[in-house]
Amino acid sequence: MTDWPRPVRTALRLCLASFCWLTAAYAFVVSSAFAYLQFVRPRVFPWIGQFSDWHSVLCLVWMLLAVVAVWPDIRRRSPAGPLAIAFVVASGAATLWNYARPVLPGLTDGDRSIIVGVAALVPLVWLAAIDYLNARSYLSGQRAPQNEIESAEFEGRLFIVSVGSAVFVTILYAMLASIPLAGAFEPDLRLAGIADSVFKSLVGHLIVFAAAFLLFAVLVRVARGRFVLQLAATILVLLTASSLAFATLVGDALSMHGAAGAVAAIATASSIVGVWIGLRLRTLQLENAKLQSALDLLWGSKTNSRASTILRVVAVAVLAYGLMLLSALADWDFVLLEAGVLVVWCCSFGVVYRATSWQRAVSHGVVAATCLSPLAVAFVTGQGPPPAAVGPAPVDRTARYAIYNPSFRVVSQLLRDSRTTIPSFDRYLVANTGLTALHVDPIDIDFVPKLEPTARPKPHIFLFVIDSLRPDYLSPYNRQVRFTPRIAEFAAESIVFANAFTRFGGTGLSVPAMWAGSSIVHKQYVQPFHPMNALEKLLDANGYRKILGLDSIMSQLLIRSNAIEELDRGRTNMDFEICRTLDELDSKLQGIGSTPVFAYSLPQDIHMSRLPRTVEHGEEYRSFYAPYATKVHAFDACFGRFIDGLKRRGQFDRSLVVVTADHGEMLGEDGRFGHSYHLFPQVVQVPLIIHFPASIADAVDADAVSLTTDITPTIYAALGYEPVQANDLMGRPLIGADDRVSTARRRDTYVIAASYGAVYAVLRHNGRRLYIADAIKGGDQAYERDNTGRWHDVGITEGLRVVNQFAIRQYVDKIARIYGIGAR
Amino acid sequence: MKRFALLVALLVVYGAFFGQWIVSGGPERLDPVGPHARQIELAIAEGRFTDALPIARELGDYRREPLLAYWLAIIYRGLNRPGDEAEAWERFIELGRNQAEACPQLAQAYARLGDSAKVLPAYERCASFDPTEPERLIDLGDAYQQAGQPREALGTFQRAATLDPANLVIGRRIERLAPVRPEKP
Repeated sequence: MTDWPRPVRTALRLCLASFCWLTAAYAFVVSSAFAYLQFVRPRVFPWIGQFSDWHSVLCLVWMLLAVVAVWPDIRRRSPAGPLAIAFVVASGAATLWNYARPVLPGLTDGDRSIIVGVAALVPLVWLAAIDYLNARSYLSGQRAPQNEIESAEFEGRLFIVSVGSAVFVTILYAMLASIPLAGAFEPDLRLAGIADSVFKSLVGHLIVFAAAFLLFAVLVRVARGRFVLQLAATILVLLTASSLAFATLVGDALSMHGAAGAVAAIATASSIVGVWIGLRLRTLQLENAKLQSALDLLWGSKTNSRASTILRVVAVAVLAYGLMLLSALADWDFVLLEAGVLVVWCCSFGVVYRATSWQRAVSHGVVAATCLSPLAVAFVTGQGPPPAAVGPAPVDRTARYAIYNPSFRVVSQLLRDSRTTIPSFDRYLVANTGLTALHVDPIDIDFVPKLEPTARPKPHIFLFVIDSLRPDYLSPYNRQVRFTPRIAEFAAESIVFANAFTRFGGTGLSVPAMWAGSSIVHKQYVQPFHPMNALEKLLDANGYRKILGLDSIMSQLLIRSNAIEELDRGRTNMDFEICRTLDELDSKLQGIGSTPVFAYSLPQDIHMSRLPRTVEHGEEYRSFYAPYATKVHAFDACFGRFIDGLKRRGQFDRSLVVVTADHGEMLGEDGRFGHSYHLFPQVVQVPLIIHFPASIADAVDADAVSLTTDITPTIYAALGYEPVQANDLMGRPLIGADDRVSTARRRDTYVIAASYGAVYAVLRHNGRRLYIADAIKGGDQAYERDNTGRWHDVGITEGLRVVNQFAIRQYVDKIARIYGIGAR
Repeated sequence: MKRFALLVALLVVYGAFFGQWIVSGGPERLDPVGPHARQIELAIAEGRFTDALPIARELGDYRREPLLAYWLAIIYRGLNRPGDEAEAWERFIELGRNQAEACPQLAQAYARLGDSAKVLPAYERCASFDPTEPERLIDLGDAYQQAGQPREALGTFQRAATLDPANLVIGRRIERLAPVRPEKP
């Protein structure tokens, strides 16, 4: 036996690789503070925790398979034998170490997890090195294009393949995009709009594939006649491209920046390229196949079989569509979708490469014209004459097409005009965001200089922060909603703040900021938090009995004492369900004495990770996202029961009840789900309904902008205090509005930040205009809300960018100044 | 050799395209977080407008940059130089193609300048540019009142009220002008 049969060998290698990639993926995900704190630690997806728990045992199985995989190299004393033995020894030692002291369960957010992830990929690169050493003599026997004629002929084939791949990918994705487009209302994407978009898609793909052609063609020329050199250069190009793709798609999404992020990108790219080339090398070596170029090694030699070509085309189409469907089911900010596009590009190139029998030179003129003309078209369409000197910039309507055509989306991002982003500004935002490693001392956030107990009657206070609740799924905000009758009843006896926004996208900072009544430094978390916790200070000063759901965030920030009565004790945050919580609270409220009560909970019923996969699409959920709407419907009934209880006991008129959310949610708008790094209108708008005790009848401007950080000062005002803003990061009371305060609330500029990444938004014009600066993805976006409440994207002018980016810098600098940390 | 030269030349063009040097027009942009920019913006944030002005003037090479015009407008407002401020806002509007953000500021600068001939047209321009924005109509109504034209003011506030019926500020303005009957159109 010289080696295992091909299927066994391939299966073994893929098993080993999959385990290493899963381990690395786990470690990379954990390295992100957001993912670790919000998903991994609370075990939102139990199987992730189970993988970590069982990893050390699974490692033993992996080790066994690894020995089986390299056994032929050890047994037949191949050139790579010593390296294979070293691999077994090193892997064995690492496996035993991991078994004795399991690494994965102990990982937390930070660079150490990235290092562990990189270490998990080393075996794959090692195995690739073994493959290369074994195949060295085979490779040295290969013959690359030797002279001008052979080089020109090879370039001719490469040229045809590149152009063919561009056309193939354009057609493939145009066909796939037509499936979801068929049922969508897209007035800009009628026949002319689609034709324009497909043309732009073709131009973009031609540029991408022509760039690949030029790169490979130059490499082939440089390495003329030296096959190994050509292979090395090709691997280098692939590694660079894969590393950049990983850094852009995955690294940015997980906030893996700097040296650690670069090492992770290179290690991942090396492991992917290593496995790919290693498997191919083994196969070709055993077949003793003749190679014309390094590309043959990657994609195989040309084939004359039409049937196999058709089969491959179908397979690529199925892969592309499957990835689109998979991404629609579960994706993280399009990482899967966009990575899938890159895989499909690679496969498409391979299919066309193998199917192309052309082996003649192409003239200079054709090459130059084909390469330059798409550039010229892109240059002209991207750089066209500026719009009129006054007025908003036009919106590129073909951008809507990118929502349906993922390949066009990736191409558009690659070719995006640099003027839409200023890299130094993005770097500035990244440097001033997520200051986990920086020591920051707490500041005092006080709305009242010397806080004494109020002389007014103290109402019971109930603060319900429903994670991810959108206002347009509640009937007080949207007349089309028929499934929240109890909240509608409650709203009729309360004040509905129609124009409410969160101060932070994402729970991580939104909830602490709500308690603080102020925008806070971008750090999870400043400790001790108590000096900043204006709400807790108010409750303590007034002797409130605290009945709290200690979620994963507030449990770190509140002063732990026996005075806190815990709701949902023993449950993880993700298991906080409003019906159960309210029942428990209701029972605690029965027979309470004269002590005022403060109750708080952060129910997770409609968090994206808790939504049912399938629901009955009842009539009343039409035009809504049914899995979400059905959960909203369910908690509406429970909430109504709770309010009934308050009324029955005569407590309702003596209570201040706040229903709000920490942030909104993307529910499929433009194909997006979730809220992690998003600050789109659907994420920053929140419901805010406050029932005040009957004794409070202050003036309210319910249509002016209100923020979640205004809740705490509003509670102060409701208790009879006159809260003072020491700076404009602090909230304002929403009651007792005079013209001056109302006008300020309507005209001020508000900066909103994502909790988990360098994405900032500026809210202006009484919440009608939203400008988003996304330093993670790069590129800014602007939205405007019309009088019907619908948001539209608007073009970005230089002036718009200047004004809004200036506002963000002023905000970041102000935070740095107030917290005494200095802007980075 | 010719072919190799052609391929390399094309590759360079592509490198330039992807590197964005051609598209962005080179590295001549004013860096919003460069050392000068940081000094100016920190001085503005701390109200040290006299310190900010000379640094901003040093950046004369970037006079086509709307950011510079924006800084200058804010600095001149801080220094209470409404004439220079108005000029800077005009320039910002021209370079930045942004009426919505700068138009009211320009009108306010004219008002501070006491240039009554320009104040009303400026507010009218803001309102016509941003016809669905009630705050622009409130500004215009206030300007009419200042100019002693209460009927026009009332009509403008009533227009604003149709856009934003729940706006308490507009309601109070209309209440105050209730004795005035608007002119028939």
